[in-house]
Amino acid sequence: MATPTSGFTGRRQNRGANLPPGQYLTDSFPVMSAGPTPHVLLRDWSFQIAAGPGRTHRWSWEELQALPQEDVTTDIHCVTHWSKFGTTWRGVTLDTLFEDVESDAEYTMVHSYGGYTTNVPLDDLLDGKAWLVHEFDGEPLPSAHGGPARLLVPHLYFWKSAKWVSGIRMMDQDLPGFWETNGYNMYGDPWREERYW
Amino acid sequence: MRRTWQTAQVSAARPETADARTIRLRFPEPVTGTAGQHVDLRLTAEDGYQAVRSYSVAAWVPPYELEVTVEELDDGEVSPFLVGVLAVGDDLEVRGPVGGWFTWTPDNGGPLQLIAGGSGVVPLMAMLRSHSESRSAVPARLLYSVRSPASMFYGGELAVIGQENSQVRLDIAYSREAPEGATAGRLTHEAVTASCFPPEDAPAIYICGSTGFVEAVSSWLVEDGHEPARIRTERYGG
Amino acid sequence: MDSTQEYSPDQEHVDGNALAGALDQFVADLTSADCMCAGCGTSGPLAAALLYRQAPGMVLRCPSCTAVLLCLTDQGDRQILTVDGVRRLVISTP
Repeated sequence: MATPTSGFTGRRQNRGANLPPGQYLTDSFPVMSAGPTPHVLLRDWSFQIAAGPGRTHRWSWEELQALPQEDVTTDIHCVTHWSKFGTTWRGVTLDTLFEDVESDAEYTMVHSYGGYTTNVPLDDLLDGKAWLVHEFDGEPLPSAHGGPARLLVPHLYFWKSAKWVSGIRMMDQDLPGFWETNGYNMYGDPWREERYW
Repeated sequence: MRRTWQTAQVSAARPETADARTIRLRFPEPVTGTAGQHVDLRLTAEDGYQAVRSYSVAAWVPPYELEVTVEELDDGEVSPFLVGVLAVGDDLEVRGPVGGWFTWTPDNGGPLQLIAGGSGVVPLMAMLRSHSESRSAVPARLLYSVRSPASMFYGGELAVIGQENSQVRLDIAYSREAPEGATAGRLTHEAVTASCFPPEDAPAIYICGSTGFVEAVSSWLVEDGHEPARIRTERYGG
Repeated sequence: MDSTQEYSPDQEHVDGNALAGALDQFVADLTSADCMCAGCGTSGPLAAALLYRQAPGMVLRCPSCTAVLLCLTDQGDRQILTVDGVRRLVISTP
C-alpha cells in the first residue's frame, strides 16, 4: 500500500448517500472509449436478438421507433469511479424486444458495432431493468455516448451498458465479454463494488 | 531504469508560464536515461484512491535529479495538484524513466528535426539540451508552435541556445498572439516545410503536441517526401 | 537458457523456467518492439500504435486496421495483460 501523497484528494470530494462505495459524483458526462467511434448510418443500422439457429429477431431503425417508447431517469455508475445522478434517456424497454423471443438460455452476450462485447445475465435485462436507448437529455444520442443506440442497464456498472449496440446473443453458459476477459467482474454490481474478478 | 515505484522528493519548483510549472525530483539513487523518455507519477489519496500520469522528462540533472514540466489542464485531476498544490519537500511516487521509442541520443546522428506544439516542447527540449550539452556537431532545428509569447516554455534558455550554438536553428510560430515584428496565425504546411530540413537531408524527425497537431504536421511531412519511418510522434494526452 | 547444455535424446523439453533470461529482454522496453497485428498482418513499433486509455483499462490498437493488439488492466495488486491481437513481437538489441 502506497503512502498518501500530501494534499492529493483526486476529484472525489463529492460524497452522498446515493453513491455506491468507491464512487465520486460528477456533473459532467465523461466520454469513455476503448477504440475509435463507429459511425453507423441509420439506414444501415439494425438490432438483432439471436436466440439460436433460425431464431433471430431483427429490427430496423424505423421498426425500433415504431415500438412503445419509455422515458427513463436514472443514476449511472462507471467502474472508473465516477457516478452521475438523474440522467434522462428515451428508448425501448428490453421486455418489449424479448416479448416474442423463445429461449431457455439464461445468459446473453451483448455485441456492438466496432466489435465490443459484454456479458449480462438475461434476468438483468428483463422486468424493467434495461432499455435500448436512442435519446439522452432530450436529444438524439451523440455517437460519442453510443449513438445511434446503446444499451442502458443502470443497476450494473456502466461498461455493461454497451455503446453502439448491434445485438444480443443468447448463451447457455456465462462467458466473458471484452472487459470481463480483461480483469473486470462477470456481473458488476456497483453496490457490492464488484469491479474485478 | 527502475521497473518498480520509488519515492522521489520535490527538490525545487519554478513557474514556467502562468499555468505551467517545472518540478525537480530528487531520487534516492542515481537516475539516468535518454532524452525523450518520460516518468510515470503516482498520486495516492488518503482513502487509497490512486491516479497515474506520464510526464516527459525536460532535463536531466545528474546524478540524482531530473525535471518535468507540467501544464495545468482545465478539468484535470492531477495537473492542477502538481502545478498548484505540490510543494518543495513533498514526496511523489515515480516509475521510470521509461520509453525507448521517442528518444534521441547524440549517437543517433541527424540532422535532428524537432517540431513542438505547445507543451509538446518538453521532451524535445530534453533532446535539444542533450544536443547542446554533448556539443554535438549534428545540425538541429526546433520549430516551436506556441499560442503567444507568454505561453512559451524555456524562453530564455532557448534564446541562449539559438544565439550561441551555430548548429541549432530555432523557429517560433505564434498561433494567437505574436511579439512585435512577427505575425500570428495558424501553423501552415508552407511554414513547416520552410522550417524543416529537406527530405534529401533525411532528418530524424520528432513531433510532439496534441493529436490534431501531430497528425497535421506528420501528414504534411510525408506529403513533402519525408520517409514515414524517420518520423516519430508523441501525442500528449490529458 | 544455457546454450552449451548438452543435447540429451530423452529430454524433449525442459521447464519454462529456463526462459527467464531470454524473456527478460522483452521487459526492458516493450514499446520499442516491432509488433505484427494478428488481424491484418501490419508491423510497426508498439510505440506507434494507437493507445486508448479513457477506459477501464488501456487498449492498444493497430494503427492500420484498429483491431485490438493488447489490453492492460490494473487491479491494483494485479496487472492483467491480454495479447490476443499480437501475432509476433521482435526485439532488436543494439
